[in-house]
Amino acid sequence: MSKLYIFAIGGTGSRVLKSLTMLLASGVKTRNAFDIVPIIIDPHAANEDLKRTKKILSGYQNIRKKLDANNLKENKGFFHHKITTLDELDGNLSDSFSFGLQDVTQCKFGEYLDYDTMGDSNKDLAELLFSGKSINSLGNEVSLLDVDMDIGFVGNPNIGSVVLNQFKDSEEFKVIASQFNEGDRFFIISSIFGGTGAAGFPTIIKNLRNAIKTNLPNKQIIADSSIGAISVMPYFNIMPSDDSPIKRADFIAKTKSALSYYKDNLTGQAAAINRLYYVMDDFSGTPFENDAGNNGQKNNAHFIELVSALSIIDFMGANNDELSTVNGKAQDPVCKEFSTRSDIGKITFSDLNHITEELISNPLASMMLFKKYLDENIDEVAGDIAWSKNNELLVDSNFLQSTFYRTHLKDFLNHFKEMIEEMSATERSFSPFNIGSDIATLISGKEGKAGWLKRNIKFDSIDAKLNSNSRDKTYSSVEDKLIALFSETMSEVLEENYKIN
Amino acid sequence: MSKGKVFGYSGTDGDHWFGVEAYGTKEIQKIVDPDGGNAESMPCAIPTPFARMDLVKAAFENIEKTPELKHHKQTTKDGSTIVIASSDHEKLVSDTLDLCELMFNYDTISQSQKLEIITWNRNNELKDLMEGGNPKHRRYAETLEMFLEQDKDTFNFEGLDKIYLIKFNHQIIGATSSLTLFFTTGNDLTFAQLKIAKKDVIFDEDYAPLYERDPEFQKYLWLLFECNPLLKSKMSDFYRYLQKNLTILNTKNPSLYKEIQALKSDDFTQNFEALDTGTANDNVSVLGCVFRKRKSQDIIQYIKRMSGFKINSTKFNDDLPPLVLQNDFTISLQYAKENWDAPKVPFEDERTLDKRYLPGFEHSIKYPYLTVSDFLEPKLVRLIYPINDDKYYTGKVIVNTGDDSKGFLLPLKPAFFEYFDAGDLMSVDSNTPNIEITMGVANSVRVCLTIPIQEGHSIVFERVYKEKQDASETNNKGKIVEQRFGMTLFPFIKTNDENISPNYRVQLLDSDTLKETIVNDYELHFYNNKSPKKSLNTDSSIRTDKNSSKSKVTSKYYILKNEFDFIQVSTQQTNGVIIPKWKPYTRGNSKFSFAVDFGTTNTHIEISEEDNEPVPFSIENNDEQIASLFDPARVDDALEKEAAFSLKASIDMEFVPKNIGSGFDTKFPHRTVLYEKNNFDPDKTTHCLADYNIPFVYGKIALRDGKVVPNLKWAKRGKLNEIRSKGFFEELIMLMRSKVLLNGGDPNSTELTWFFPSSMSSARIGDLTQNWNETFKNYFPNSPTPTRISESLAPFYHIKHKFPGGGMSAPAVGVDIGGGTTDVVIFQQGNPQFMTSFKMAANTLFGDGFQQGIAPENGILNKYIPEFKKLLKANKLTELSFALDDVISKKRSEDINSFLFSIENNPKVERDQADKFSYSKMLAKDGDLKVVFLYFYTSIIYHVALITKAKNIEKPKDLFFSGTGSKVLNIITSDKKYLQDLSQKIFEDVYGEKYETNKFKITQPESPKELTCKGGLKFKSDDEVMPKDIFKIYTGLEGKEFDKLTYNDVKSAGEIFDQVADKVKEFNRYFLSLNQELNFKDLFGVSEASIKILRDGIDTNVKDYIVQGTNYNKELDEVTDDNSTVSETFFFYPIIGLIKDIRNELTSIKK
Repeated sequence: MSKLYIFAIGGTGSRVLKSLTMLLASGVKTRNAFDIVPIIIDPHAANEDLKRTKKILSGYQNIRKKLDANNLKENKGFFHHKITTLDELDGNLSDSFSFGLQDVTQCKFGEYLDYDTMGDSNKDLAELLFSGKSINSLGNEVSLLDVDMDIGFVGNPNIGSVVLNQFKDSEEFKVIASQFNEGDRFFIISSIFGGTGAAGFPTIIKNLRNAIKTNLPNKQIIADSSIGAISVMPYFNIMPSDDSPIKRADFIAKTKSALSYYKDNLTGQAAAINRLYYVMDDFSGTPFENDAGNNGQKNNAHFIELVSALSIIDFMGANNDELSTVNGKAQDPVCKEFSTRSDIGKITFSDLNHITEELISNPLASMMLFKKYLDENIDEVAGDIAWSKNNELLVDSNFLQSTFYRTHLKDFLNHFKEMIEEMSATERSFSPFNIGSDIATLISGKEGKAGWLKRNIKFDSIDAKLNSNSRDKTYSSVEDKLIALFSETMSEVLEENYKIN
Repeated sequence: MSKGKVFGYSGTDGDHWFGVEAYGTKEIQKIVDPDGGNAESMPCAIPTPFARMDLVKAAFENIEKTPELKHHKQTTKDGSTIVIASSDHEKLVSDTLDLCELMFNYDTISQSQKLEIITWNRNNELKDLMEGGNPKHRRYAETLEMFLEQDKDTFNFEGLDKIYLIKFNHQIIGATSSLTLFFTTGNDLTFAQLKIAKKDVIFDEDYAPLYERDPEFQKYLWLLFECNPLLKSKMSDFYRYLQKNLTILNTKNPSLYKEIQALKSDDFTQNFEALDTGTANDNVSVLGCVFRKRKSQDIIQYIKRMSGFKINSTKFNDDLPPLVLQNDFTISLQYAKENWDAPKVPFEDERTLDKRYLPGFEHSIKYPYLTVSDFLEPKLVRLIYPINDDKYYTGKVIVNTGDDSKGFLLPLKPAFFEYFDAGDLMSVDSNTPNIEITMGVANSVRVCLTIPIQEGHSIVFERVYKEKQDASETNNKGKIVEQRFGMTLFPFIKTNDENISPNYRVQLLDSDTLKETIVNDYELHFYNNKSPKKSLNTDSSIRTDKNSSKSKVTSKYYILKNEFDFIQVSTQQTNGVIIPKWKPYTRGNSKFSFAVDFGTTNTHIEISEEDNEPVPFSIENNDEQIASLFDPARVDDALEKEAAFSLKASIDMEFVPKNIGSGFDTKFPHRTVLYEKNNFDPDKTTHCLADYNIPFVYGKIALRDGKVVPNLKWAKRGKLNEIRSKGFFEELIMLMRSKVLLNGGDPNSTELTWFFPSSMSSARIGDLTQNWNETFKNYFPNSPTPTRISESLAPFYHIKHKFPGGGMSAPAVGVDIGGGTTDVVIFQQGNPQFMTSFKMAANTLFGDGFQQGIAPENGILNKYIPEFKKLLKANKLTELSFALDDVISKKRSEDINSFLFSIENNPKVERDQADKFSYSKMLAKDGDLKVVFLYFYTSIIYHVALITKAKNIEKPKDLFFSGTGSKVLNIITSDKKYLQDLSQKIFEDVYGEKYETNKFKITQPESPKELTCKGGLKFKSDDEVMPKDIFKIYTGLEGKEFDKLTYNDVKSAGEIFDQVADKVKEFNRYFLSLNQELNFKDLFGVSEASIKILRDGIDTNVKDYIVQGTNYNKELDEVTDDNSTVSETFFFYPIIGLIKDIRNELTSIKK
């Protein structure tokens, strides 16, 4: 299976990666299957979003380890997508998902350059290139050379471009290169308006396309690889704050500058990217808290992140011949934008375009229903009901006490639910579910009906379906049975009872 | 169906993720800034180390789309606002243009502000980082290299090998950019705010689009792109900006638009010069295109044309008018390229003007400027007296503390006068300089020199001078130095008339005797306004030296043949300027006539304007000829306090008195003496009023530092005496000339009449004629040659109208008794018929006979000097006592007597006390001595009677006296009738016939000396009688009374002396018989004892005296050839000898 290396850069990278993980977990279908290798790039190691994403990715892997690889090959159902860590590829790397940035802890940018020991002209040039002011973690104005590296680049992509360029010499990159095969792809998630993403994006692109000039293995393949990227433009409000270097007007200004730069250096004649996804939202809703970094930057999940994650699904769906690259130049590069059917503050499945709805409504609803079932019904029936006893694989109270169930699965689903809740709480909101209601009205705009009288569906209808679906099936383990059975059943229930295909 | 939503800016519609064009400029512009484009900060949003370059490029790109190249918002159809360009963009463009303009004006930016261009060499610098062994450096270098390589197309990095970094005051402010020529730092640039053009401060908040900037700069940028087409394509955003700018100019500034349109590519290289890094030929370039800068010469021309600090001087004609600069000048005038922003102006710049750089542009703009030390001296000279502000310009003196009893030299350097005339300083016109001297606490003095610059503004050069601080021009600290010197100009006239040759004498007196200043060596330099750089040629002469002078004063005299406007007084340590306040002069057309009676003892000058009644020559207050630097009205106390009275006294002694005339200390007639310096050397060039002068205080105060020379008229012929007599004439003529010029006289029609005694030899008269003529011609080159008249004839012309019949019906006799000679003229029918002359005169009575310098043997003096000493002492007339001692020490009887006679008229003597001091009256009362005067007088009348009788002339009826010596008549008797009777009797006795009753009359004028001159001035050429034609010498030889005798005749015929001796003896007998007839004791108070003494000695040495007198006269006339004619009668020789011999006996008669 070809690999899709996803570079998730900065806070936005982590959040989009989280959304993607949820989409993958819920079993969103892709035309082509990829072994997904996420690499989080963020010097801001204390970033809450980053920590959460890493936890979710671990959870995903832990769940998937117990599942039968063969079942998963059907390219459908919960957790069927393979997510691989870098260290799984090589084993010598320190971190599972993060790219280990060097020399950023307790380090100012000037120290990173070792500015003080440069020759005079180089010093002068550096002083000019990195002129202007930023802000430190205490909210004090500092010059760029004094910016602390470990809170990210605080909106200074020029610094980021220098620091993140260490990527090219990193062990991680060497591992990727050594493992890189024909058909493997890259995808880069970044926001355009921050510091880290805006800087890391072109830096990584340049290093990949520039690989031919290195001594890396597979440098030709890398240089001519298929690269997709999403550039996330401003999509949320932040609280105005005089203390913060992050300002909404800045976001826009930076976006414009960066786009101009992309225009000249990535897209257009540069043709560095095979597929570039643009996304933004100008909805003025509840502002995010303005927090420059350090232990902050824990933001609610947002619909745009989900949309961004969908761009990766879209990219995975493209065929190789659509993404060919010759001599480092993408052939017929494509740019894409996303649309919904309606422009409203509270988006439900039916507000999405038909394709989008078809792609995600059934999986997300399946996962949601699965969560609802586990939360509200399984304790009552486990060990007694047919489906829990079939296949000589007992889903009983013991199993419900297992680490897999209690920690890995429940935690993961909690994150899922949390994400769904967060998305519905932000503005603009994505609110496909009525999370607190019973299952018949769980899905906004879609009532679940069961029986020939088409009464509101209840868990017993689902149990009946589970029972029937579990008959004559072979599962490799209880864990495998639980995931596979529910994946199949929930999807069918949604099709049959909710008319969600 | 509700309206769909696309989460992007393309404006395209589609489902789910759908394909759009890559975002280009159009899409980017659609992005709406929620804050309306007024973001305060300018984020650096581009993920490349070269982000700032791109940021500037983006700014140009956006600004170019606005209508006026300023920040601009636009409202779309749907009502939303689109920011075309933000104020940040405007700032970035403005800053970049600022930097570009700064580099264009590179030469105008002061090197002191350290505008530096540093080259960042790509290969070398990256190699340094890569290979220096520092992994962090290597990592950074590789990043730079990657971006340089990857972005080479979009950033024009292809071929980029150098970036030129611009530093200002050691801080980086920007660099060259391959995108927009330059880019600036994101740091605060307030520190680099500079005015580079009249209205433009770079890097300020007042952003300026290109079309509001310096037209030259706009032309430059336009040409830069026109001559480097590569820039048009590579820096298209900038180029479009330029094009838009041009379009705007078409409406806003059509003339500049046309100028730009008309530019040719040649103009680029011709009008601007390459911008180098400071190393020649290391040119600053971008994309291979070399930047240029304003030609430094253009800046110079610009300053010359535009600067408001240019000196406002009509005098200065050099190419570049210097700027005048002071610190703390607050008016924002155009300075160099920009307005004045108060750079530090050095107080002193040691470089010559043409090598100076302007303050604030110490290494870039070489343009002359003037600072305080160019015009103000480091030391201020304080005098010990107040300045004569009627005659000299003192500046505006303000006394805040203290008093103005001590004046100051103007502490101006001659350089000041290269720009302004002395008159400008004195003018009250607001566009002229002025100087203000303010006296403050602790004797400090603040001098403010105001120099006019352009448009009515002025610069003030200010310096504070203190007694107790060292002078430092660098720190603008001045020192006050007190000096004790005086200066006096003669004459105080400036005619500005090239037809009138100037001839000045300047007296410089130095009485510095204090330890610090005794070494001062004073020099005067004279300058005129026309050539202030070169002092005028002068001769100078030191007359006395304070180290040896009794007056403790050094006197130095300058002889100057040019008119001048100011004087610099220099010592080794100090300089100062004196500006005479010359009075306006217009050449007059009055005819002035002078007559000089150059007498043996006294000299007199009469002056007649336009043939009016002659008056004695005078110098009144309104025609003062000299100008002393001190204020004569206020000086006495000041000089006395400083014990420097010689500064004043030496003017009268060695120079020219302030006043002459009735009512003043000195007047004419005046003693015929010259005062010359010790060791006077006739072989050296000497000058009147330098090496010698007429000491008008002679006889009034002691003259101790030189030599008083009398007897100028009859001194032995020779070089020395010629110089002396000529010198005496010269000073008189100088006084006359000044008199003429100061009183509206025409120097071309001035007349001079002078007199000679009939008894003078032709050779001597020739000498006198030559001396008078030459000297007069020197000073009055276009006036008629002087007229000479016989002394004997002249008085008659003055008084002849007083004799209704006198000289008409019966003859009249004029007797002029001078110091040395007595002239006798007989007039008939109003004309001189006959005249004679002999050297028996006042000196015979009071002088030393045929010898010189034997005053101690003079009985009269021995008798009267002790009396006068006693008298002077009793009356505390110390000054006169000194003067008497002084004249006594010269051992010249005639001088001592002259002095004694003058005492009664001395101003020091109270008028009501004058009689007590009258020498005449003392002598008149001296019965023992009177016989001599009577004998003297009788001999003259007797001699005249012999002559008239021999010539068969009718007995004269009028006898008039003139000459100083005629004053002896008053000693003989105060009752003229007795003299008339005596004289009448002599004529009757000689003729042997009686007069009709009361027909004989004596006329004796009150001022007998003046008659000669007055008569001379009345003399008309019709009156002219050649004295030689009527001059006769009475030989005393029977039948040959008027034959000419030669010395040979005398030698070969020894009996001639015997015959003359007989004649004299006959007279002696007659004199003694007169006493018996008339009783001299009764009539004149002659003592019996004195008559006895006379009678006993009267015939003793008659012949010896004749021989002695003849030899003396021969020597006097320098007779070498015995064929020469004898020049006077021998008749008086025994009389002169007798008088001398018996004088002492008479004065020693005991009562």
